[in-house]
Amino acid sequence: MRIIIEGVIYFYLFICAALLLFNVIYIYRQTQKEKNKEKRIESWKQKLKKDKQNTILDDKTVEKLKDAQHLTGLYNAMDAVLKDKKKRLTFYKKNMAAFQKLALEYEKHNAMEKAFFAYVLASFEFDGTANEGIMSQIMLQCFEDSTIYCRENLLHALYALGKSQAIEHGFALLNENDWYHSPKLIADGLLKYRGDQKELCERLWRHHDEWRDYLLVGVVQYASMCKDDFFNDELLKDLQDKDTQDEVRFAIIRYFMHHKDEKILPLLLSYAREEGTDDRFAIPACLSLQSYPCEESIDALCQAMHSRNWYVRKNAVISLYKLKADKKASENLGDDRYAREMFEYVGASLKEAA
Amino acid sequence: MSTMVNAILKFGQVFFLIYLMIYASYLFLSVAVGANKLYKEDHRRSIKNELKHDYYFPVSILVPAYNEEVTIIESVESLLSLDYRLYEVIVVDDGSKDDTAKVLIDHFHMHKVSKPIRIAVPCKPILEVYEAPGTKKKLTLIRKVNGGKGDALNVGINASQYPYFVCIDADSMLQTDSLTRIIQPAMEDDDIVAVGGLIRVAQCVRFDGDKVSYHLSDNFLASMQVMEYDRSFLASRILLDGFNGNLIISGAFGLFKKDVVIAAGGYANNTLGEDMELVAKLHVFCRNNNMRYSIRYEPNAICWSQAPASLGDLMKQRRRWHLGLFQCMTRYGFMFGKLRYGLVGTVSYFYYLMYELYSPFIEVFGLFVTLLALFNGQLNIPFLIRFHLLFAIYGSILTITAFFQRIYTQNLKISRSDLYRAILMCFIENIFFRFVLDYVRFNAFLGYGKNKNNWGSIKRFKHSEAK
Repeated sequence: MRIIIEGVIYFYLFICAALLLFNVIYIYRQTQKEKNKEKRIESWKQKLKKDKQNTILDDKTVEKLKDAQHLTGLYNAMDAVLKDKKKRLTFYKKNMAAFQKLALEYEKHNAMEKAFFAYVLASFEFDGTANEGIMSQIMLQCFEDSTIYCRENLLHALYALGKSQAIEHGFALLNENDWYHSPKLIADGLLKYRGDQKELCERLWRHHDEWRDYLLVGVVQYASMCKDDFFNDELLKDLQDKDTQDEVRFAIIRYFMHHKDEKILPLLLSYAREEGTDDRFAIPACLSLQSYPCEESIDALCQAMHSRNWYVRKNAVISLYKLKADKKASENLGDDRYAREMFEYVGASLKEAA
Repeated sequence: MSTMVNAILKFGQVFFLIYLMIYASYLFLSVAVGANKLYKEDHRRSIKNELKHDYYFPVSILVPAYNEEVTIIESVESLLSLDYRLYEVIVVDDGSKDDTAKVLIDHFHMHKVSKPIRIAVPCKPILEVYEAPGTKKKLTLIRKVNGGKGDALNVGINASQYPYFVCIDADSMLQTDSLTRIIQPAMEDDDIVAVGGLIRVAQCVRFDGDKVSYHLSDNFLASMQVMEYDRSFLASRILLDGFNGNLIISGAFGLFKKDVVIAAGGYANNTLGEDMELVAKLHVFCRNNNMRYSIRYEPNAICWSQAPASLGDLMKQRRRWHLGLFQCMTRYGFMFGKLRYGLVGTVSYFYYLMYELYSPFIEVFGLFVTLLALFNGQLNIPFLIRFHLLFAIYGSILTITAFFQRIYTQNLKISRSDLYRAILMCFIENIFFRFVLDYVRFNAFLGYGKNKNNWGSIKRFKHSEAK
């Protein structure tokens, strides 16, 4: 029996010694790689400085750039030398065929390398004259075998390429494959899109019955951050529809804080007064009411100050201060200690922030 | 009589054969899986570092503090300078007997506010709330009646305003990118309810802005713990992470999804291992409610925590850890072997039970069997020595491997003298130090009834002075 355990330990010992050796060699190789990286960046810088945006990536160079280490060298040099967005785009246009070849190659690479290629692509400010459609197609193919990190970068490339149809397709892929993507990332990312915001929102919202809540919440949050009110009627309709997912409805209520529309006021008042059974709707409603200065709003908010829900009380007081109705609110505090504490604290915080 | 002795020896032989085989395999798997994961991570990271995005979720950092006047300013200063866009820092003074609150109030010119706090998880009464004007990030100090670390964290949860919170010890420091790193798994997967960071020994590090310089501590005990942390925490947790089986996220640095923690009932305030208790509770809560969930370990999110520098302090810390483990294992004993709790309830629970909780007792039993065999004339002494040395060499090589893995994955540079010292420490740790720790753990239960909720105090140093 002891022979067995000795044998096992000797075997493990041997493997561990091999692992240790591997680590030592790996550390040595990493040091060498770091040195080579600096050299590569410097060599690319020299080349770009010499030819500026007219640098041509010949076949031999494209072959080299298939290695992600070389691509990072080019990208770092571009960042240092081609800072001007127009010059950078000119460089891309002169090498469109080369970038397409590289895109097809990186499609076969691992997720992190695909992500890096997409990241490089997203650094160009496309203007609709660089065959963006073809590149968008390749980026969509890259979604296969991707990680969240890769998908975020692919989406950024799609936003930069500016084809709304491709973005729609990208979101559909997320939905079909049940790939979770944070609504915050979606909303922040969509802001990079430089095309027609209205057309994009309408295109994406067409799927409001099919897509998962995180995608729709992201789209609503994006629409909230857009300047124009092109989306109100559709959203109002969905807010009233009981089949709409709760998270989406909360996002829609918050949307109407940024995009004032008198049509929603009765609904906001009803939520703030907690006329339904679910007080969760009162939380965003109380905050949105700060954009609707009228007696009814103030009355509803004064009532909400006494809610059992802590967040409702907080948002109601914030809105009352924003509506400059703090005097009336203070008269309505009564004996409610919780409402008074919240009223005093929010007042002091807002004063300090100002 | 001799039949009974023979039966004990026979049982001991079979038991230790199986016990050591499993342990050797576990250690081996830990380091091998850890090596594989860290290698892949390192390869990915070389490219990932080139991708500069500004991803963030707002996070509340909770710092429970009890008698931390020596380190608290330095720790809070470092927390306020993290490279992260939106976060707040909440220090909870758990009825300190020293001037923890006063030094904070004076240093940051804090003023008293009447902040209404929503009591979502139970906690002892709050005495006062202070806020600091003009700090880079929002800083809040809450003074409360003493109730233990778990209770202080519950107050922090109640007072926090963001959907994720990070708990960190008051004597610990984060690297500027630690928050970015620990939040990444949560951004990637909405089912993640908790993420553990990597705890490392603060005595070995000096910060100069973003740069971290590393030098093995001059203190023997501290450098011994560096080796132990690398082998036990880094490698072992990566292995358990492979099947969502981690039962511990260190209280020194962990990220949690607030609504799930509140739904599960928050931290327990009647245990010495509130960190492990919370993780076990989250496993049970999510599985009982058929929730999709994941508890992850992120070795790139680093927290530098002061290791006890004297044997007395080390014994107090390990006693607390072991009792905390005991309390948690007994409280969640119902998980063991139940299908509902999957691999956490079998593999993880079994490992912590047999190789952490019971290991000091099993080692004493081993000593007893050895002595019995000696007196019975059945002990092969040359084999005993050879076997002990073999196992020590095996353990040492694993420790050295884990140490090197960490060096390359974190881009650290160490001097040649540190390298030699590290190798020497690995051997000393395996041949001698681990038995000291076993002794401490064996004695942890002495006076358990009286001290089961007593943390004991450990001497703190300013980070800049700790060596």
